[in-house]
Amino acid sequence: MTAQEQESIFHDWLGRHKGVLFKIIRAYAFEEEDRDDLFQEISLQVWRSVPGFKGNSAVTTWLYRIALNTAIRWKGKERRHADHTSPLQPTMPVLQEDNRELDERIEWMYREIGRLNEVDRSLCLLLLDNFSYKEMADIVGISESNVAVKIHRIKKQLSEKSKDTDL
Amino acid sequence: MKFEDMKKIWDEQREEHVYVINEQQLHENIKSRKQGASRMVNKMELFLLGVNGITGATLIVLNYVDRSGEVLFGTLMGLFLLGMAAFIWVRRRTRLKHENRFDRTMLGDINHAIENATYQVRLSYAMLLTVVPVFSLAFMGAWKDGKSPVVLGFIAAMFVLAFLLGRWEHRGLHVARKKRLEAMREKLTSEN
Repeated sequence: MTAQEQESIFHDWLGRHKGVLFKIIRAYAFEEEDRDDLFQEISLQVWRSVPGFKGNSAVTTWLYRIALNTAIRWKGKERRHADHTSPLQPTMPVLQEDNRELDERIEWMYREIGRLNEVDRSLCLLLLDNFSYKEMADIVGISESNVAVKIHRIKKQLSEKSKDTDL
Repeated sequence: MKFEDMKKIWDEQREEHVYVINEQQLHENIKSRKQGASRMVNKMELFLLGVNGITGATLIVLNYVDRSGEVLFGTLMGLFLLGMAAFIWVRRRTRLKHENRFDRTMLGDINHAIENATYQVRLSYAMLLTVVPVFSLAFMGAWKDGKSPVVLGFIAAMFVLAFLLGRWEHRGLHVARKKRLEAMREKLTSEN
């Protein structure tokens, strides 16, 4: 695959599936700067992954796996600072937030998903986006029964939390 | 609220329009991140290859040419350093070959990341070990040349500093990263 083909496929994926990436960065990064950083990191991994995509799964499944795997290993600004691994040179932001009014119910959901541990966050996003237990097990690499146990706990946790709000 | 109700709310969102992407900047940043990520490991490997290879070869040649004194220790040390250089070279080739490999599952990717982190831990440990023979050679050379105690003390202090900094990097960066990845794998695979 030539660099030009790789570039073209990457931009095509980004154009058609950026919504998937936006959901993931909102669930894993909570400040503007962090979201920008995570988006760039995910974009880099997606770009690198292009030659490895053989079409055995849907593009969205592939993107979910690459993006979630990057997100659960990504370090936020504070942790990077504590580990002394912050980038030496700050770069120009890539994402610009749209100023439209956000649905407060969706905001609440992102907040609560953000409170789950990194792995549960992945499963919750996959569940909300209609992936079956079998597909989740294939993406994450754990058994379906393990997925079911975790999902049961996540649903319970979110339902409990919703009782404290008047949404 | 039941989870099914949350799901309905979730389905209503239109995430495509939450952010606007500056594609030109993204292209620039991806390019610079791509180079930056492999630059550090690359430098570390080349440095270790150079130090171990050159020092090892020099030791063997010197001990072969001048056999008047004790040659066994120097030759063994040279062979050890050359072996270390060969190990780093083989691991580097494997790393480069698998640099853009993506596993089919997240767990597979984490296992692969742990493998890489283990390599980094070993490499930085090898770097720490390298300080000892390099220090011994530099110190012995200076001592045989009749350098003053101040110079000898300075050389010793610099190597102690290098050792401490190397140990800090080894534990604080590489070992910590490996532990973090292992903790992530545990979270992924645990049954609760």
